[in-house]
Amino acid sequence: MGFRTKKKKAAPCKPNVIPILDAVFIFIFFLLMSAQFLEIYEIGSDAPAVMTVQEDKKDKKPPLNLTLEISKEQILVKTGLDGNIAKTIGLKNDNYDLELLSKALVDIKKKHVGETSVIIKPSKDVLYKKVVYIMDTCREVPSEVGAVVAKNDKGETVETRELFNQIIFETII
Amino acid sequence: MRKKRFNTRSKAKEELDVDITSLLDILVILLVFLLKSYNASDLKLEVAKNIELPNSKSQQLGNMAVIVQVSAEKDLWINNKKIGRLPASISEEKIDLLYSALEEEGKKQDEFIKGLEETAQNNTDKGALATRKANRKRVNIVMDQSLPYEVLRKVMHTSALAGFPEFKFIVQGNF
Repeated sequence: MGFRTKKKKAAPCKPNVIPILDAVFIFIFFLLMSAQFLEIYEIGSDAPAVMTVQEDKKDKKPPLNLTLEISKEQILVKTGLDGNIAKTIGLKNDNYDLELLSKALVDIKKKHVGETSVIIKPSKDVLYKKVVYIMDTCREVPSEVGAVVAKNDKGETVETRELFNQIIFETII
Repeated sequence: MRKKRFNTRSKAKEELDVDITSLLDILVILLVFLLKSYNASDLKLEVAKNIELPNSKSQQLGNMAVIVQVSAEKDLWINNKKIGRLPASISEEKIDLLYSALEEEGKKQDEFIKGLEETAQNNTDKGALATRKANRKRVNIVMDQSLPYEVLRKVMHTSALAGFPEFKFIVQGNF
């Protein structure tokens, strides 16, 4: 009796995969429509805005006014209203020494952690791709370098990976 | 003989069992590949001929706005439509050709926003209206990486004069 029960094996159960396949096909069409095979991103910049500042609303601390003057041979890192040259970045293997620029910007950021804007002033013969590389360097701390930790104007400790991500081009209008 | 013929007929009536395992494998691979290349950005861009985008570390997704493209030969496109070519040497800061096309585009956008304001009733329409308004002053600049800054400056200057002072430089990621 027991032997007979063991002999009766249940027929293999075949799951119905047709609805799953239907769903997968619809999903594939949806993904094909929204797929972007060229990875496209953006870098933002605004035209400089001019406004009148009232005497009583003027900052007590002098503005950083960080400016990068880019020529074919070098980048001049200038700070302050007088435009004092903080660093001169030369060429390295026909390209700007972006590591040195990044280091200089990190040093400035440590002293002015609340500051987010940089003014870029390239000369007319500088290639667009080099301007983009410089903008990239200005925006973020390189991944191999740790985050910038410094105290802000209120005395609070701030940790950030962003450098000067508000990029303004000089002499647009 | 008769028996044989009868047997053949009954075999034909048996249900065909198609093995779809390999098909499912392909679908799963396709699904993973497509999921990886999925992009949530609403910017639909057809990069014009002879434009090599500069590489960048940026990870910021683009948004729908007016698209100005300048190729290596200085051909100009607005919203994937060619409008002409920049002269070899541009003495003036303002590019008239681009200015008039952008001004027209601005008017079109204003009319569209006005129409939406009048008709928007549900949340979807209101959301679309808010996006349109937020992107009204934005211009996506797609430029060949070999062009000098002089061209970019003139494009930015003209765009700002035509009412588009928020510049977004379209770059190629994964650098």
